[in-house]
Amino acid sequence: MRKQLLLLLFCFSVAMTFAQQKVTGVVTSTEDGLPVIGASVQVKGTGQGTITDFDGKYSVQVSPKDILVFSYMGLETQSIKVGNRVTLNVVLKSSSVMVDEVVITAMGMKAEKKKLNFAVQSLDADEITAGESSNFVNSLQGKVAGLQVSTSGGSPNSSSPMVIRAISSINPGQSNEPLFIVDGMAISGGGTAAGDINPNDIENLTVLKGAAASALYGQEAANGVIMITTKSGKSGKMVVNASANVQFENAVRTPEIQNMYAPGIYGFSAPNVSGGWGPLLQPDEQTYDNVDNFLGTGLFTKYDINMAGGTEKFTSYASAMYSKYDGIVPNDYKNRMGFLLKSSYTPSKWLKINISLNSVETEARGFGSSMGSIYNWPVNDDMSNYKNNDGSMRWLYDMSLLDDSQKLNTPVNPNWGRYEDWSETKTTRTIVAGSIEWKPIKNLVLTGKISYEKNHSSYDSAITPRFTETDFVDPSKVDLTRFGQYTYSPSTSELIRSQLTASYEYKINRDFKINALVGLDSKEYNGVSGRMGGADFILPGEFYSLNNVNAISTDASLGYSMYLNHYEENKFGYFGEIRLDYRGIVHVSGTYRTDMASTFSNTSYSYPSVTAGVIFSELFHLSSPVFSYGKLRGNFAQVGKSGPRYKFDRTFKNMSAFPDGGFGLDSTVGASNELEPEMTSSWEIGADLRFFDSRTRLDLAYYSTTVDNQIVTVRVSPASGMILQTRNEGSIKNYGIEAQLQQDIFRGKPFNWTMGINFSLNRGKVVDLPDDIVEIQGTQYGDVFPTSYLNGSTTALSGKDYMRSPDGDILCKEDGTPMINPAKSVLIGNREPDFLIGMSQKLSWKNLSLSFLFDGRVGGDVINLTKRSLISMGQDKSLEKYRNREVIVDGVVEQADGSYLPNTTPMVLNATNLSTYFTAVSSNFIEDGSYLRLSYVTIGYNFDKLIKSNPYIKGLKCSVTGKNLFTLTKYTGSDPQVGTGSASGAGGFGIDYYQVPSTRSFNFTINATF
Amino acid sequence: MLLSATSCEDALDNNVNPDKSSTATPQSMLPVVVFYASQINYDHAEYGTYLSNTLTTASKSQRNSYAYKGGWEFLTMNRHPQWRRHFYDLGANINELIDIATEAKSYNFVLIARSIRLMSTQLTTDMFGDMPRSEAYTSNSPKYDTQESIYEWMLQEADELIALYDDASWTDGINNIPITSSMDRIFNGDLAKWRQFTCAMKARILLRKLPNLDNTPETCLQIIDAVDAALVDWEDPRYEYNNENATGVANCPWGPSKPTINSWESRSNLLDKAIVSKYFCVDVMGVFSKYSFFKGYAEDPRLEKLMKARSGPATDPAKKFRYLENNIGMGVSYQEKNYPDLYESVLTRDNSYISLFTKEELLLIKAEATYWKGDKTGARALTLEATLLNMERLGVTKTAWIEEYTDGDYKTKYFPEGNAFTIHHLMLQKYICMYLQPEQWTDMRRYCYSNNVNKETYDGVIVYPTLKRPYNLYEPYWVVDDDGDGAVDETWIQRINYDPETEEKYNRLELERLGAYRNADWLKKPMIWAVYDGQHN
Repeated sequence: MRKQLLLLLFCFSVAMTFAQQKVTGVVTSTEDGLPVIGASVQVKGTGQGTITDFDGKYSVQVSPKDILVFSYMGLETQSIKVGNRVTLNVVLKSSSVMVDEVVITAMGMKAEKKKLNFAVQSLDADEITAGESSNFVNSLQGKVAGLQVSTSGGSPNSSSPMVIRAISSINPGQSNEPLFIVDGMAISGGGTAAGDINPNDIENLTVLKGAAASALYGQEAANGVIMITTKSGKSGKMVVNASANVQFENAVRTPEIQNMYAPGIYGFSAPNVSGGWGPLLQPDEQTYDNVDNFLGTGLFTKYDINMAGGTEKFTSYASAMYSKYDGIVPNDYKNRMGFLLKSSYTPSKWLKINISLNSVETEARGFGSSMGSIYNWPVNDDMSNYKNNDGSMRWLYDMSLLDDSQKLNTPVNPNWGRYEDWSETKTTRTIVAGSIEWKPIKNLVLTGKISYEKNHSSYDSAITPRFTETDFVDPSKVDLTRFGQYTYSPSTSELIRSQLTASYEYKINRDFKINALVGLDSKEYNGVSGRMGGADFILPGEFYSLNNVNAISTDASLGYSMYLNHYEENKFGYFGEIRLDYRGIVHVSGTYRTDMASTFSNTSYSYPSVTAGVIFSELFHLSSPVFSYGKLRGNFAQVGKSGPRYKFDRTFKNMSAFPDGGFGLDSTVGASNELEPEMTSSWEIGADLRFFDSRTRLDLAYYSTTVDNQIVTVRVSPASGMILQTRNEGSIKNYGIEAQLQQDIFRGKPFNWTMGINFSLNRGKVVDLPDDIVEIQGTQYGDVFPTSYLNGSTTALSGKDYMRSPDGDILCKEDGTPMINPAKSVLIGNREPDFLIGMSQKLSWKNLSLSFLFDGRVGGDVINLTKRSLISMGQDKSLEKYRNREVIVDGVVEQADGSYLPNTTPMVLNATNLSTYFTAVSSNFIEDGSYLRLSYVTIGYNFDKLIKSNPYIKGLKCSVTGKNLFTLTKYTGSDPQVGTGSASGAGGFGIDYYQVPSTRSFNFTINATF
Repeated sequence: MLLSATSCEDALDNNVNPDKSSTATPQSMLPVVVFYASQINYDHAEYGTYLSNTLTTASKSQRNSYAYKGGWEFLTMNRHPQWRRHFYDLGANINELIDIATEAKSYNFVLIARSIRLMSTQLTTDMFGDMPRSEAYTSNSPKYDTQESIYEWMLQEADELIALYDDASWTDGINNIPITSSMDRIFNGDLAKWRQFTCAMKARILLRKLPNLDNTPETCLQIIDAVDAALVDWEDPRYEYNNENATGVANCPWGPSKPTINSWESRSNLLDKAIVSKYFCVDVMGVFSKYSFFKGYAEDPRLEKLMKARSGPATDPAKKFRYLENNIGMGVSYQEKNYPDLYESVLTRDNSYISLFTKEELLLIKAEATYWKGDKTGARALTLEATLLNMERLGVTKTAWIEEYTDGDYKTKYFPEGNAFTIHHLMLQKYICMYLQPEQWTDMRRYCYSNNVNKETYDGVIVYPTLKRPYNLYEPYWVVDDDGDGAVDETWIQRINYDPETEEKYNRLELERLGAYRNADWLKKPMIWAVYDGQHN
C-alpha cells in the first residue's frame, strides 16, 4: 500500500512537472509606453504570482490552462490565457474606471479629485444653470454642502451674500465671503458681484472649502475659494449656441395686513396718522389691498449667444448676453449686457498664450428694504391714487390742517417715489486678463498671468420737490432736500493682479512622483468715490439736474453734501507647494506662503499647510463588487487674513459744519498700528467612499477651524480716547460635518436617475475675547443686534426679553402683565442652523429630462422685525383676532415664599399693552427658521432627434422651470432664508426687516445649437 | 512682476489716507474745542430740563426712546452724548491741543483748554458720579476714580489754573500764538476773562458742599470769596450762534433748526415736541387760568419770555399756556402745537447763545452761601438781584409786572423779607434762572428733590413742595416695594447709567465693582453731594 501511494505521488508530480511552463514578458502602459514597475502578475484562482521588476519584466511558472491576471493601480486589469506561449508582453491601458473627476484646484491647476486631500465640490455647466435662476449665485443654495446663500429679498437688485462653512470674522468690517477666482485670477467682490457673471459662460465651478484647499491663495482666501472656469473654444468646426429665457414671477407669502381698523390712536379716530390703531372701519367703508396693488408681476428675459471654434493652434470663444429684469416692485429693475471673448494661441508645444476680455454693463434701480411704508399705509386709503388731477402729490393727510413740522412728517406715497422720482445706477465691469504658459524644458511649466479689472459705477438720482416754500410758515427751517434733491455719485475702482508660477514634475521612479510649485503674486487696488449734488431746485418741475439746484454744501451732516474719497491698497505674497504621489495611491502635499499687506505695519506673515491622503481600497486591494473605492484624507492648514486699510494713524477731520470750522479728531478712525492678521488654523479629515461599481458615492468631512486675532472695529469707551477702535480681539472656533451622497438609481439607457444629497452642520463659538469682554455686537436694528457671545454662538441675536423664572418661564405680575427684563443685550436667539440639507434629483428618459432640488434647513432662528413693526403700527392681520381681546400670558407669578404659580390673570391686548409688553420685547419675534423648499423643478425636452436631418440646427432643447414652488416652514414672514444682504461679521442673515417679499417664478428656456 | 517683487516694500508702505490729515495746529483745534464746550453745556441741560420736571412730552410710555423724557428706563439707553462729549470730543481733542500747543510753547491755548476740561469734568461727574480720570486715555478699561477724588482734583486744578492765569510767563509768553475771535468766539482769547470763568467754576465746585456736606460759616465764606473773585469784571462766557445764513450745527442747539452733530452725535432739542410741565408752569411760574391785560399770563412775567401761549383744538380754542403733568400723556384731541411754543425765547432761537456760566448763577451761589451762613437778608438781596438780572436777560420790560412780582402782591410768595425768606424761595428763583442750564437738575438733586411726599426739609422747609414724580415711570425700576411693606418708595433718579454699549462691555469689572452693572438701583444712588442726612432740617 505504501509503495502504491508513492507511485501515485510520483506519477502526479511528473504530470505536474510536465504541465508547467515558464512564461516571461514585459508589462508596459499605454499612458507613456514605459515599463510598469511593480505590476501584479497573478495566476488566476491560485494565489500564485509575482510582480514586475524595475524594467517591467516578470517571470512565472504556469500551465497552459492558467490565466494570468495583470493589474496595476490606475491601469486596466487584463486577464490572458497562457496557452503555449512562453513570452507574454502585455500593454496595460489607462483605467477608464479609475480616471476620476477632474477638478480645478488652487492656482487653476487641474487635478483628479482623488489626488486632493481636502474637501472640494465641483459643479458642471448643467448643474450651475439648473433651476434657471436669474442669478446663478442664489441657485447654489442646496447644491453644495456647507455653502449658505442668503438673499435680501425678491428684488432684482437683492444682494446674494455667501458664506462657506461658517463665518471666520465677527467684525462687521471684515467680509466673510469667499474669494472668487475666474479663469485662475481673483476678481473683486463677493457673491453679489459674482452674480453678474453670465452662468451660460461657466463651464465649471469648484468650491474649495477648507483652509488647506485655499492656502495657496493666502490672505484673501481665508473664507474659502470659488473657482470659476469659463468656457473655451475647441478646435474644429465652429459651434454656435443661442438661448432665450423668459420668466414671470410674483410675490409669495407677503405679510397679511389687517382689514378691520382705520388709522388712529388708542382706538380713536385721529387726524394725520397712518397705521391701524383707530376705530373699527365703518361697515360700508371701502378698503384697499395696497400691498397687492403695489406689487406686480416681475418679468425677466434673457438672450444669449455664444460661438466657439478654432484650429489646432488657435481657439476662441465669444459670447454676448442681454437680460432685462423688472421686479415685482414698480421700477425696480436690473438690465445687463455682457460680452466675453477668450482666445488661446499655441504657437508651439512649448508655448501657450491666453487672453480674455469680459465686460458687463448694468443699469439698475433698486428699492432696498422699504416695504414698511407700504405695509403701514392705511387700509381705507387707496395708495395707488397718489397724484391729483393737476399732477401734484395727493397727500395722505389734509395738509391745510398741519403745521410745518407735521407737514414734514407726513408720509410720502411710495408710488410717488417709484413713478415721479428717478434714479439709476450704471455699472461697468471690465476684466482683461492674459497669461503665458511656457515649457522651456520637459516637465517645467512657467506661467505668468496678469489681469486688470475696472469697475465704474455712477448713481444718478433726482428726488422731486415734496413742497414749495409757500407750504410753510417758516420755510427757512425746512431741510432743503424737501424742495428737491439731485445726486450724482461716481465711483471707480481698479484692481491689477499679477502672478508668476513655476511648476515642475519629477518622476523619481514609476511609484514616486513629485510636483513642485513656486510662485508670487501681487495685487494693487485703488479707487475713488465721490458725490456731487445739491438741494432745492430753482425751477421745480422743469428739469432735474445739478445745474438746477440752489444749495450745494461740503457740510457732511447734510444729506446732499459733496465729498471725494481716494483709496489704495497693496498686497504681495509668495508661495510654494510640493506634492508627493506614490503610485497614485498615496498623496502628500505641503504649502507655505508669505504675505505682506499695506494694511499692516508688520512686514510679513507666513503660514503652512500639510495634507495627506491614501486610497486604502487600492493599497489593501479591498475593491469588490460592493465596495468600489475608498480614500481617507486629512489636512492641517493656516491662512492669514488681512485687515482694513488706513487704521495706522489718528486723523483730523475738517469740522466745516461748526460755526468756526477747525480740525478735530476723526472719531471713525482709531489708531491701530499694532494690528496683526487674523489667523485661521484648520484641520480636516474626510473620506471618499464608493460602492456598487461607484453607483453610490459618499464623501464625508469633519473640520475644525479656529480663527485667532479677530480684527474687530468696536465702539470702545470714549475714556480710552477713541470712539471706534480697530484691533485684534479674541478667537472663534468652527467645527462641523459635511456629507455628500450621489446615488445612480438607474444608470443606462433609456432611463437615468441620479440623486444627490448634501448635508452640513456647523457649530461656531467665540472662545476668547480680551479685557473681560463678553460680546461683540454688529449692526443695530432697533434694540436687536447680531451678536457674538463669549463661549456662545458667533451668530447669536441679542435684544430685550422678559424676566424669567429659573425654569425659563416668563415672570408675570399679579395683574397678569409680564415683567420685562431691564437688561439690554440679552441673548434671545441663535441664527446658526442645526443643519442644512439639499436634495437634488435628475431623471432622464430618452429625450425628456426632469430635475428638481429640495433645499432645507433645520433650526436657525430668524427675527421677524417686519412683523414687530406691523403690530406696532396696528397693521398686522393677527390684530383682527387678538386686538382688545383678553389673553393670559403664558407665565408664572412669583409667590411670597419664592415659589411660582401659573399666571391666571388676563390682560387686554390693546395698543398700550401691546406696545409696552409685547412689541417692546424683541424676543417675542424670534421664530424658528427651519424650512423645506422645493427650490426648483425643471422639465426639459431635447429635440435633437427630431431635427436630425435639419442642416442648420444641430440641437434644440426646451425647458420649463418653476422656482420656489412651495416652502414648508413655521416661519410667519415671507422667507426664512432672509437676510439684510451682509456677510460681514456676524452677518445680516436671519434678520427680516422690510425686505421685498420673495417670489415664485416660472421660467421658459429654449436653447439651440447651430 | 519682477519690478513688483523688488519694489513691494515701497508699495506696501502705503497706508495713509490721502483725504485725511494726520496733523493739526492749535489754531485749527481751538475752535473745535470751544464749540464742544458750548455743546456739552447743551447736552447736560437738554437732559436736565426733563429730569428736573420743567418739560415733558406728549407720551406716557414707560419706555421712551429717550428715557430722560419719560419713564426713566435708562438701562437700555446708550450713547448718552455727555459721556462721549467729555471723554472724546472735548477730552481727546483737548489732550491733542495741549500737546501741540505745549510743543509750540503757546500756553494761552493750554490755559483755555484746561479751563474747559475743568468745566467738562465737573458736568460729567455730576451726571455720572464715579468715572475714569487718572487712568483715562491709558487703556480701554481705565479705572474709575471716585467722585470724591474727582472733586479734589477739580478744586486743585481750579486753584492751579487761577495761579497760572496770574503767571505772565503763561499768559504773555513770547511764543503765544494770538487767538482770534474765529478761534475763540467766547472771549476772543482774552485770558483775563477765562480766568474769571475759572474762578466761577471754583465757586460752583465749592458750592457742592452745600447743603449736605458742609455748611459751616467757613465753607460759606470760602464760596462767597470765590464768587466775589469771579465777579470782578465778570462777563458771561457766551458762545454766540450769530453766523448769518447758518446751517446745521452752526445754529444754536436750542433753536428751531434742532441741529444735531453728524446726524447722531448729539441729541436734537425737539422742543417742538416738548410740553411745559404743570410743575413749572403752575407751581413755579404761577400761570393764570386766563390772560389778563393788566397782569399778563402768569405771576412771573418771565413765563411769556420763555415760551408763547398757543391755541388749542377746536374744542378748546383759547390761546393759553397749556401744560401737562410729567409723563401723564396728552389727550387724544390735542397736539403738541396746542401747547406753548418753546422756541419763542431769546434762549431758543437759531441765533441764540449758550452761556457756559451766567451771572445769575454766580449771584445765586453767593446767595445760597450767604443764606447758609445765616444772613437771610443778604441772601434775599442777592436772590432779588439775580432775578432782576434774569428778567433783563429774558427781555422782561414791563416794570409794573416786575414790581408786582418782586415787591407787590406776590412779594410774600416769592420774596418775603426777614426770616420768612427761606431756602425754598431762593432755590425757586434759581430753578427759574437755570432754565435750560445744567445746574437746574443738579440743584434739585442737591436738595434731594425735597417735596411734600418725601418731606425732606432744609432749614425746616421743603424746598420744592409740590414737586411730584412723573407719572407712569418704568415699573421694574421705579414702582417697586423695596421695603416689603406694601408701600412703593418714591425714589428719584440721581444719576445716569453708564453706556451699555461701551462701558458695560469694555469696563464691566469696574461697573461690577461699583455696583453699576445693569443695576437699576445704581440710578437711585445719590451723588456724594446729595446724600440727605437730615442734619440741616
